[in-house]
Amino acid sequence: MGKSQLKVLGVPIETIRVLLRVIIFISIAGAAISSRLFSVIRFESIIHEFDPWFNFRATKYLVSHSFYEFLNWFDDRTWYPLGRVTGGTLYPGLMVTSGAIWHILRDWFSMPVDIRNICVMLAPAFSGLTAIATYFFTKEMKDSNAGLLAAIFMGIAPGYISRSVAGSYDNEAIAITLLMATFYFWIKAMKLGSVFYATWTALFYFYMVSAWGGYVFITNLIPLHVFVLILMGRYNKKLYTAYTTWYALGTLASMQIPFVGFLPIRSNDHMAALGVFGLLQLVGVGNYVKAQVPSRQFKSFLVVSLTLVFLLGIGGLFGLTAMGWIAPWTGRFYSLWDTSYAKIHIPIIASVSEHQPTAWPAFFFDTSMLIWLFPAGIYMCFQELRDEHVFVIIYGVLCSYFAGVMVRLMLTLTPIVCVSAAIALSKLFDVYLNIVDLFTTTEEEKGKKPKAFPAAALISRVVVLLSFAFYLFYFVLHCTWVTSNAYSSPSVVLATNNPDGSQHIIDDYREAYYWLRMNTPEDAKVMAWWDYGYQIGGMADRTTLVDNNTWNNTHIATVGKAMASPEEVSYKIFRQHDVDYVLIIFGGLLGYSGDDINKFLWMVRIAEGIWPDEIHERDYFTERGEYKVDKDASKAMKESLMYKLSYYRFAELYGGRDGADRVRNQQIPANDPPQLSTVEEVFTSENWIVRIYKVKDLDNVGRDLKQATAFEQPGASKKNRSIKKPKLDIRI
Amino acid sequence: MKFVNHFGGNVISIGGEKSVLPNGIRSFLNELGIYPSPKNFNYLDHFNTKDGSVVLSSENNLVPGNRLVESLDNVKYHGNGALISNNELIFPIVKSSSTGYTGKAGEQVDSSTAWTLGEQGFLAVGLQALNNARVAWLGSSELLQFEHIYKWAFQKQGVLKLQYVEHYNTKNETAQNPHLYRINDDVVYTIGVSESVDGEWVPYQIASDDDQLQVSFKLLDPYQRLNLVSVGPSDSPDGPATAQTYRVNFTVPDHHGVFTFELDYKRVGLSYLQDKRVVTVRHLANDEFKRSWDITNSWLYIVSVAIVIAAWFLFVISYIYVGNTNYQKKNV
Repeated sequence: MGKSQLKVLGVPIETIRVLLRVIIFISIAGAAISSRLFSVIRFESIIHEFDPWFNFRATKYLVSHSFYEFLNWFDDRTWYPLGRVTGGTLYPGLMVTSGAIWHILRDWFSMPVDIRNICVMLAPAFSGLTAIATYFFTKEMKDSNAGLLAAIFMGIAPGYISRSVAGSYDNEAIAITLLMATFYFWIKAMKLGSVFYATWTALFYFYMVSAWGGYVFITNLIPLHVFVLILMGRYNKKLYTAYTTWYALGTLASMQIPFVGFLPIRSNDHMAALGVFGLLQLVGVGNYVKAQVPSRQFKSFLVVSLTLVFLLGIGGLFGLTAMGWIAPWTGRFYSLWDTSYAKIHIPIIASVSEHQPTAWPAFFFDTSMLIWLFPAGIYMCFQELRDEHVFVIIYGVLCSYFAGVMVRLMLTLTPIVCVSAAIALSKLFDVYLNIVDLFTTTEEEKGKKPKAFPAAALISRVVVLLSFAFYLFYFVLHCTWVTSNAYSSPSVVLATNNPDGSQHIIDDYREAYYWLRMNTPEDAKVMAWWDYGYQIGGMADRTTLVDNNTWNNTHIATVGKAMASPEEVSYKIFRQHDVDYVLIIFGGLLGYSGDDINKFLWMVRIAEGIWPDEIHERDYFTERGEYKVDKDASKAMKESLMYKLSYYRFAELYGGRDGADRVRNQQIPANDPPQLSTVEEVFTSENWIVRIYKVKDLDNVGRDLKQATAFEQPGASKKNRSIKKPKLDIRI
Repeated sequence: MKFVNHFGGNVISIGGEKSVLPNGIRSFLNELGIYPSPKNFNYLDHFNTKDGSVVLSSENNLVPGNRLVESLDNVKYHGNGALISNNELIFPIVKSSSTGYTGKAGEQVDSSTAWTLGEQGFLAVGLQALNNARVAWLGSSELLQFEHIYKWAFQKQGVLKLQYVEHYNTKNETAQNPHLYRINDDVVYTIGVSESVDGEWVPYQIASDDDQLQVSFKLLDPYQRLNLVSVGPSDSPDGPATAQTYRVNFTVPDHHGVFTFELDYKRVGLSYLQDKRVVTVRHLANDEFKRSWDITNSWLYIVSVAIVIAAWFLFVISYIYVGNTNYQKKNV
């Protein structure tokens, strides 16, 4: 009964530990939440970026309609005129979570909170939970000290903050929490062979499936873990129980999500889980047989059955894929292995900046000192190499690769970096913080002369501890700095500094979207590049042709073609798709580089993918292969609708001199201004970032619009006294 | 120009042998795509001339199906010819015969001096703008003897009115013009059309099979394009039994999306009838599919599930109890 009776001030030390732990948790959650509030304090409680606007809109739909209406939601305001079966093509976890919170607050606590505020604050709130899940996960790996360290790392690591600041209402906001919880329960289930924990794993897996497409990561990581353990000869009944329970329940549950449906048994991405499930049965039978028959016979049995199974499995996989029963790998999957795959085959995937390979400084930027503690942690795991350590190693290795291939997968790497860094650091502290060791004497030493004061050892420990204390301190500074500078901009509101240092808010987006909302008919169709689809739907509440849910390449290519073609061609597309307004983003005046002219080549490429006869990427470059918008711009470039819309009346701002495009540092010639005949300018925001054009109706008397526009021009009605015979085509 | 575009005004312009077209009107006509011959140019046709004047005939000069002029025989013509552009809204009424041309009298005829040559020349042309404003150009006042032409031009004839457009789901007839349909719903689309005759609205009956009123149900491309069937007169805001009802029943395609009921009726000499109704066609909701036991193919699977459950249950019972008794026996 030794230690448990230790008391400090009359309170059992265990109670104090629990109390301390709770306090630490509360502070960690507090730190995690408050470090994510920069954007709310600087700007306002607003939804960020692009995808969150859709999630927000869907959540509003959910709370204003019933759950079943949400599930069967057919959205006729996006992808006009195709519409989107939204209820069946989204991951409802996020919306249902915030909808549930909203209902609970309103109905049970009588707190009528605006749904927007719940959406904005959801990600920070869940980051606190992530920290706790990480604690439990790491505790399984080492002990609760490491767990606490991992929790605080997880709470403030920029790699995770990047997707979970207040207002970043995206699937990842809750998905990372669920990821860590699922993994924790899996480790627990696998260790104990417990059906109970395996069921919890399956439940959280289901929640994860409902929340994020990245659930496939779990679907593959857990089988891989099991597979590696089998290869290492560590098969046991606990593993069998845990895995089969999880797989059976988890797969059935995941199939309840409409968007996932039959994927778990039809898509290649999920085949590993099924294969390992089968393998486990075989190994189980093998073990049973092994226990029953002599070992020599067992060997031949093993060889024959293994070969058979292997051949059957591979043959079956190929056969079924060839017959179309199993969906082939998706393009996003291929681009994981071959980084140039997407650029060649699916420009639409490559055009998304977060699908680009990661630059190496990003690792330091997003995880600071953790990145070099990470290998140390992995090494510690190798040293002990219990079953759960294998999991950390696999997770770490796989994710390091994936994070190197795609920027956005940095997010899945961050948790394991935090965990293994915490393992390494706590190991270090275990050794160096234990000053008591220096002063205790062992049994053998007793009776000898008293030891000298261990100055050298003490100093070395103090130095190490101090330096790591400094590193930790610096880590906190770094995280705060990164969060505040890089990840807290809502991107719908931009901020710059005036020459005198005061902050200047550039609010062109909302100005323009609000204009659309107030000045256009409610059923107006707005064409814009797909990046802005969700924002137009969310903020302006107008029908869009394409949006960020890029499921229909052809439709996006149609918009690309309209932007890349001369006006007459575009006008046909406008008429066919009932387009009323065209919205473009132009940064030339302000030097805002994320504008449409810079994205223009992607529009051309995507359009070229569908209409290789009409659009050629080469045509948009100058003779010397440069991408220019000044007087050297190619003919196709100057005639393209996008060019005209961007630079229409641009040079007029400069009073007759050439206009200066501050993004591309080129001069826009004033003597050859773009002429528009099929659309007319109706709105340009304060800094010219958003320009909106109205598509003209057909000419009343049947002229083509170019002629009609020329007729309306002030100087055009010159008297033509001499009447000449017109040159006309033969009337058919 | 504004008069036509914004006020829907009607213009009739008449040329003649000696007449000079004012510049404003000329440039207006040119803008529409009608190019009357200038001063001193006359329409001549030496093969069909009697007593020094050109005589028109139905066979040579009448443009078929124009609804305004039925017969042209023995009409003497002294006037201009015009060229017209490929403007879709222009329809010719009287054309030049294949031997006629427009040129200065007495000059030699070749392609540079003649204004019109052969059937590319026109003597009377009508144009109806998209807002149903009407413009007529006649090469000579002699053509005014056809009262239909000026009646038409001043909206006294061939004026149609779309009285109402209705569509509803056959399953729920009380809800008119719903915004939402489901795939494979049955839809009834009904319109009422009136024609103005002497200032009175009367039901408009299509004249022939070529004039069928058609509705398309389209999403980018028409999925359905159907003739509307006349079912008799009906009431309209202009009074009882003033509109002819046209109707069609069809099944919504098995494709969800935003569809448009599009009525587009453009016939020469009649007002345009155009109407677009945008509706949403949704997919089946989660509880609108067939239940599993309604599908005979699924019985096999249902039975196999039941058998597996039963077998598992038997297995568990036998494992626990059968095994147990043996164990106890051994022990005893």
